[in-house]
Amino acid sequence: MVESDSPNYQLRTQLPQTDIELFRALKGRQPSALGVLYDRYGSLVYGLALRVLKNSQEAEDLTQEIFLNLWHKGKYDPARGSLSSYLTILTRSRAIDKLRSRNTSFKFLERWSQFISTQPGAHTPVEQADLKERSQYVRDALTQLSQHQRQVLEMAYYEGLSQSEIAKELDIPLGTVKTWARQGLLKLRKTLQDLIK
Amino acid sequence: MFGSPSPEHLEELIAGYVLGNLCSEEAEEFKHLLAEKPELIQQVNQLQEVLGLLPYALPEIRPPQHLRLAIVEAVNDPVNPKLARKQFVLPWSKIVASVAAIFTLALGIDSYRLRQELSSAKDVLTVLDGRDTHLYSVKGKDKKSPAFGSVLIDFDADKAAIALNNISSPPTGQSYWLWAVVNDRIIRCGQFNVGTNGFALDKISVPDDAYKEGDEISKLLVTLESSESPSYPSEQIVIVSAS
Repeated sequence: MVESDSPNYQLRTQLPQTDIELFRALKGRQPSALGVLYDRYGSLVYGLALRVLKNSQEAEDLTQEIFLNLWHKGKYDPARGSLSSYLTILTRSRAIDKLRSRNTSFKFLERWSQFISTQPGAHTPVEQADLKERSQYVRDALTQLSQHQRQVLEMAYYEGLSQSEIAKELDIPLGTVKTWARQGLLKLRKTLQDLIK
Repeated sequence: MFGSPSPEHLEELIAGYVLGNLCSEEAEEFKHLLAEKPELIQQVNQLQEVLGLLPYALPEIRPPQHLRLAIVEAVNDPVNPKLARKQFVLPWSKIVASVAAIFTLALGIDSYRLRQELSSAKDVLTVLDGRDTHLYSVKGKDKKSPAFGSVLIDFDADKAAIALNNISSPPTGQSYWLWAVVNDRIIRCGQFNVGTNGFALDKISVPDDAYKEGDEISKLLVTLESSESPSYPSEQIVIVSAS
């Protein structure tokens, strides 16, 4: 590899590369660390914000809010999980919140996002794989779910709908929605085992 | 009392808990199980991580390039925002006096012209006759820039006024825009005009929802924009809040 030809060579040799090290550099007020983290997770955060909010301007605003929040407040605790997980939880939570403020009749699942691990954990392989690899892994895992399982999980996750709202929208019994969602999630865990251990 | 659940039922309960879809009986049962076996939390966390992986399956969409610039610019200022904030609530007379001082410097001893400009200033500043008016000092971003001035913002009325000295007219096709960094957001305050004599005095209607109670401005920017309605500040920052 001819790294010296790369314009980022100097940056790469000076900055630590793991998320944790970058986060520590960020806490040490190194703006370049935020730039590297943005390059790493900007599209993930923006893509999620756009999927939930369905509005590019709001997605941009939220992406900015998430990264500036990381810089100014830095509430991420490495002992509680991966940085990417923290960013997606925060993004999803705030995006759903904005959706709710658009329409107060929206109810949404927030239990999972409020409940953050208290277990000091080693960093998961998910953090080490690159974004494209992870994306492919998760896409493959989703194809192994039934269409119904995937649909109810995505409606709950991206649209913030409660199970009863999903049941109403799809015109199926509530119990069926619950079963599909639970089985879908458990199946995903089995398929994505390597990424979360 | 709840018996010992089968592994399948336990998995169902954990998944239901993470998804927030436990019925009241299941919730009660899971509460007891958690109390008996706190180690179940680990499985809860695991399923939460799984749920958190869903966005990775979304098609990769690159955010617009200006977004990265806006974020990096917002943190690149070496000045601690708390120290940089020039925010004083001033009595009305002092606000007018401070703007008058700018014009005095701009116009030297030309008292007739000063009176004219002060009259114009008062006209602009009447939009700021509110109880929550804040004054910010600003200066040229480039150290060699002679530009300096003040920005006044009335949070209640969503209005602002800007007075700048030693600022050149914008190049053809471009205009000056004022931006505020409020908490973690960049807010577009509005466009303003510059006179031919090197100084600017204009009023700006700030968008209604730009500020909420408790918001604090950590930085102000003035940029040169080619767009008629820019969403984010360009890289051409000419004025920043003074430290």
